[in-house]
Amino acid sequence: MSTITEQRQGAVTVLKPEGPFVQEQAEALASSALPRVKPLLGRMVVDMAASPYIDSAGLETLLDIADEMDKCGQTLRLAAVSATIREVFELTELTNRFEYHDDANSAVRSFL
Amino acid sequence: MRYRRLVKLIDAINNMFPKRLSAGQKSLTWPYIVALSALFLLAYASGGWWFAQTAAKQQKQDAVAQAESLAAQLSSSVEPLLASGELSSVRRLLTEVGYQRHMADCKLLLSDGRPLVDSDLDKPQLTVLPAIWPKGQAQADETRVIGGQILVDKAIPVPGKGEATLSLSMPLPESMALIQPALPGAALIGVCALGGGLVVLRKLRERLAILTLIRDALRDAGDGIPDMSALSLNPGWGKEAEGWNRLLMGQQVQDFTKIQQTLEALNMQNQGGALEDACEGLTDGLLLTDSMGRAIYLNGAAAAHLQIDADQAEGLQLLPLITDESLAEQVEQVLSGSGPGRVTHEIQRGEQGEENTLRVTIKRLRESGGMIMTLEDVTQQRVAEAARHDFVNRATHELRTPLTNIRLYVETAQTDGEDDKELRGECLNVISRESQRLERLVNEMLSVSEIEAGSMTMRKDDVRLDQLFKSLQQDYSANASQKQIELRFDLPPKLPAIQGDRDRLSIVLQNLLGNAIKYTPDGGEVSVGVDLSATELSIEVRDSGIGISEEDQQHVFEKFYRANDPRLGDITGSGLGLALAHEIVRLHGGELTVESVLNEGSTFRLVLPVIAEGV
Repeated sequence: MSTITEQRQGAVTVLKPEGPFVQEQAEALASSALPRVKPLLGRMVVDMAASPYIDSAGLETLLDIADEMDKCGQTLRLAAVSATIREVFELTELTNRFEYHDDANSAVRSFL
Repeated sequence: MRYRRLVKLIDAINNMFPKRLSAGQKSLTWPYIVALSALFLLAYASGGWWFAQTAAKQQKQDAVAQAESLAAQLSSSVEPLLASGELSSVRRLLTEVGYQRHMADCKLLLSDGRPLVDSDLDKPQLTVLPAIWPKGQAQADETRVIGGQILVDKAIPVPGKGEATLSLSMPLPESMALIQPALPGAALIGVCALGGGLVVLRKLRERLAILTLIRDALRDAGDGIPDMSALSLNPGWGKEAEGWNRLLMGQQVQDFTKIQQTLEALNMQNQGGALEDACEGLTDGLLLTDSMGRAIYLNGAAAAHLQIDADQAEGLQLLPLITDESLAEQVEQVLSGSGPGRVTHEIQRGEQGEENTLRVTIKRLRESGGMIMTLEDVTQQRVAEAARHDFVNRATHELRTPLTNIRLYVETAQTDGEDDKELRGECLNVISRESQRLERLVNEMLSVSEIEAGSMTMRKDDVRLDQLFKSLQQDYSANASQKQIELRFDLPPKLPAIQGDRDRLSIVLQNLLGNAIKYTPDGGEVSVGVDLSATELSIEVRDSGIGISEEDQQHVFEKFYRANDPRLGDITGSGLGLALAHEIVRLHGGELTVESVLNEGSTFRLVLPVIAEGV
């Protein structure tokens, strides 16, 4: 079952996929995040604290969001990325496409 | 927008004749030609009418004078003839004069009204003079004009006989008779003048038609037609059109040269497109316009901030995109050079719930006359400032209460407590208690502000839950005993170690347990339960206290929030403990929730994720 929890911290929206970031979660995150990137001018954080691993669909979704953020002059901020997911980014040479933060709070702080 | 006013003025003139003129005739000069022709015809007709009226009046006056003069001459001639009794001579005279002057009637009447002589021989009249003339006076001298006839009565006193009246009736001359001969000539002159005028106006219209074309060109420019060639005119329209085209061409060349120079300058500095890449990579929006306010360049952030499609933005008029009136006015001023060279303005955009605060800086470019605009998203800064302001206000208020108490009890101890040891002891106890409260408050505030500032660091230690609960039990047993509260820990026989910050988690549990005891009346119950699954750890702190209303439950984790409940009485609290606990749990990736029923008790549930080893 796909669950994306959403939290507003100031003017920043934090989206947190609950569980492994695979097909269902990826689709849920895409439908929740993509239409709101432009209206929010890219003030968005994806908190990966509850996502232990990722598949190709999840990777594709993160790239779609990163592209949309890029159009607003922003970089996709990822918080609490697990070592497994980091390794996937390195293997696919996508590490530089994202901005990494230890937790959602520090990611939110980076908008100041 | 001066040319817009000019176009409006021209339109207003054209619209004066909306029904008379077809769309094709709606030129600049056509209304004037129609108006001038109408004025000429009106003036010509009015002049003719006035001349005819004046002439007829004069003619009438002349005819009346002639009739009176004739009556006077006749009376002077008739009088001696009547005196000498020559009636036939009188008849002959009146008949001849009546005939020659085309009179309707010419007669002599006796004073009793009987006709003596009449120029119309068929009418009854006397053949000889009466032997005895009737007594009485003849009719007084009088001249009248009735129904196109001039009637003149002239009294003739005949010595030795009596009085007679000479009565003439002459037709008035036709009023148009005098000007009738001049009518064909006048009409010919009028037609020739009108025709000549129309020919002149037609020529004038052809010459002025260029103004219509310039008007159309200005209108196109006002509608934002980016192609300057749309403003050029047909050179066949004469030297004015050629001059206009030359000026236009000069302006185009000038604009093109400036753009080319700018691009060359940019290209010189832009090695391998690095400058464009750099602009596209900017977090802030960047927009460049020409002197007409049309976008020459904008980066992705500017397109997002202005909510337009970046691919179709080049050449787009900037002003219609700006919904903020004040900013639009400042942009106009900067573009026209009438305002300050650099302006900074903050605007709000976006729908409710997704409002954005943008700091817009606009600056006029001296060389090109265009403008550079930067758009910075300061929404989060403004939200943080508001939160900080709110926090300082509340913190000041919270700190004032214990500080005031300390100051008052110090003063009491100094004055009244000098000789009263018991009073001094009470004062010192209060000061000590308030100092501890102040310390706790400051620590909590520091922790909350650390979390808000993102500077709080969470250590990832192995937290042994059995030791944590044992410590809690030791700390709070005495408090519970004081209020005869039954404190119970329902723990599984074996508790695992979890990853987290031991000190922070201890603060969370101390807050929850401390609140449970504080808000539970004497003789109540407080219990702590633990539930463990493969993925999460759930800790419940349950009490049989006063409970929290549904409305207060929604705000209980907000900073400085204190329920407006009279049952709280003297129970003190900063309103920061639960806010701090909530934030610490959130930073551990967990969740803190509350369920409560008024007068029955509350249950705070803390859920922490348990991450499998090796992940």
